[in-house]
Amino acid sequence: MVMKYVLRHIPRAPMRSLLSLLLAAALTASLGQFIAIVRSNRALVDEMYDTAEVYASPANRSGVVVTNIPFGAVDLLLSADFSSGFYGESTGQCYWVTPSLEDGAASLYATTDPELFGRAAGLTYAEGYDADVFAASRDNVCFLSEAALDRFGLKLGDEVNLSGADESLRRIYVNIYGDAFVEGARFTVVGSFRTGLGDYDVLMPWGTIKRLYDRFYPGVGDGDGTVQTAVQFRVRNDLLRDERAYRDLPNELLATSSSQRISTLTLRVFDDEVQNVIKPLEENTDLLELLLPFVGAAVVAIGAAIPGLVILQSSKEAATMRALGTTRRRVIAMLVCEQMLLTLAGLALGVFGLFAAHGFGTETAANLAGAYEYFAACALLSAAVCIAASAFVSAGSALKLLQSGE
Amino acid sequence: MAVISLKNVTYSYKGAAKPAVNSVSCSFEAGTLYAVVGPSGSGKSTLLALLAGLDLPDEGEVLFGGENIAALDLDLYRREYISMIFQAFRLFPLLTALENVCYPLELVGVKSAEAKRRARELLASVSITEEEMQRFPANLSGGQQQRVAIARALASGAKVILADEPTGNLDVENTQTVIDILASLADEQDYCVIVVTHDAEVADMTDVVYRMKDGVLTRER
Repeated sequence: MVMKYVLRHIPRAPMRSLLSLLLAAALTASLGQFIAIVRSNRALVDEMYDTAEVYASPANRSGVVVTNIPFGAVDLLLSADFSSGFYGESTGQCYWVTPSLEDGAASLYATTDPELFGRAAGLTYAEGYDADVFAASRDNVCFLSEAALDRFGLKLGDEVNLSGADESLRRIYVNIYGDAFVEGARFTVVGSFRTGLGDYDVLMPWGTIKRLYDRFYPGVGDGDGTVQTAVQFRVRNDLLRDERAYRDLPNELLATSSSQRISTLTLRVFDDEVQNVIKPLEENTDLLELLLPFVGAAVVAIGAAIPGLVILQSSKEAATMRALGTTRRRVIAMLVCEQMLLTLAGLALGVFGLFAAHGFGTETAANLAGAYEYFAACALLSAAVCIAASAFVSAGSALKLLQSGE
Repeated sequence: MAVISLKNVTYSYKGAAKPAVNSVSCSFEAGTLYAVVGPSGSGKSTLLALLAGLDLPDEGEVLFGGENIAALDLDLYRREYISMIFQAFRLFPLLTALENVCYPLELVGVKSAEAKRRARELLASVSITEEEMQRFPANLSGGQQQRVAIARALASGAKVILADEPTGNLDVENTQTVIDILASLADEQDYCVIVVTHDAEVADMTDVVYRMKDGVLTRER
């Protein structure tokens, strides 16, 4: 009988029913949309923190990026554990000792990543060698140009002799004959480049030049010297939320170095994207997340209040029902069922509308899954308010109900 | 024999200086049409409400078939032993005339089809046409609505009908019709019908008249 009464009532009060239904749907959709925005913003912020490429380079006190970075500074910064990788390159001069190019000036390049070293292109690796091995290498290996290999009849796997010059000249001599006039080291040619660098330029691993620094430049100082070293650190993505970890601590390390050359350096972090894009978005998202419980509570309160008010408007009918001998429990059931049916239908309509608007199976739709607890709270609170309201309109003696319903 | 009676019944509203019903005793028998008359605020509607079990008296007893209704389930009492008719009709606005009459039948568990059959008979007995049965109360005249309310009162099968100003909102012609129906129920079908009214002409058409004044009931005729 309860459902019969309810199913007769709903279509016969179309405006009231439609308004209840649409209001529940609109509130559900609004809340769901709000939650979807908050969650997708949060996901976006997380993704941006995970994928942002933030680099840092040593700079002077004015923040101007400088080269000639002491290897000791690089080691100190690496020990700060703020970087997930770094790119280093060194440049210097070298001189070939050949029958036809005596004392010919060329450049020496050292890099952690030959693929990223923009000037060298058309790299060919010797068998068993690749970019990763090169990057990690501290061995006596080098790349020469294809032109130099052709000219001097060298091939990959051959050895050349690289030797340091006297202290004042700071030169490196490439002696293809293998017998340096200053004691040197034998280098295996593990690759070639076609273009980018000069025909007589030499490319070697950054780790190697760092290791051999004192041999090439004897007496300059333990780790305090440089061959025009420039480095760039990639800041760890998991530290991007912690500015102290990736900016302050490395700078404090530099500042407390006993080496004056190192202590005058600062670390300049190129985190404009973090500061200007990600952090404002994160702050907005934090604010939205802070507001979410309040917005949710307001929506749930409105969503629950409307059916409650509709029931309070039904006091006259409730009084008549009680006067005709309908039990209070049945009166409550009739009133609650009608409003809950509309509320639940509205909730379902709102959720379906949201999914339909965003597309099923999309990321936004997936974010809506987290809104279910709010929808459930809305339904539960609506039920509680409906029960309370119908208990109120059916409470007391039938006489008092009739008199108050007049 | 008295179908329903009051024994020293007193009832006060909260905060009221005087009781609305003050130590009233009287009996109502089957086959009789009663009128309770009196000015507004005299307590006659409250008296009817106490007879209907809408509330229990502060003092005294309402006896139905000799049993104190305080000992009964009042919902059941209102559902099966008495019926009420109201001045404002109090039909359910979203149910048709037919469905309004079906309501008390379905309330006592009569199946839908049987309830409709009996409701049709009852509505026809108060001259409501088949077309009018399908209308909502708002689309019926006052007289028609009160006749539907009478049919609804008859539907439960209760033999006591309590009518609170049943003609208060009706014109002369409809008043006569309603009173005729109630009188025939008392005369021909042995109902005990108690009508609260302030209309002297209506009272004149009843078998017994009680007057209520300041909560005290006296038999006038």
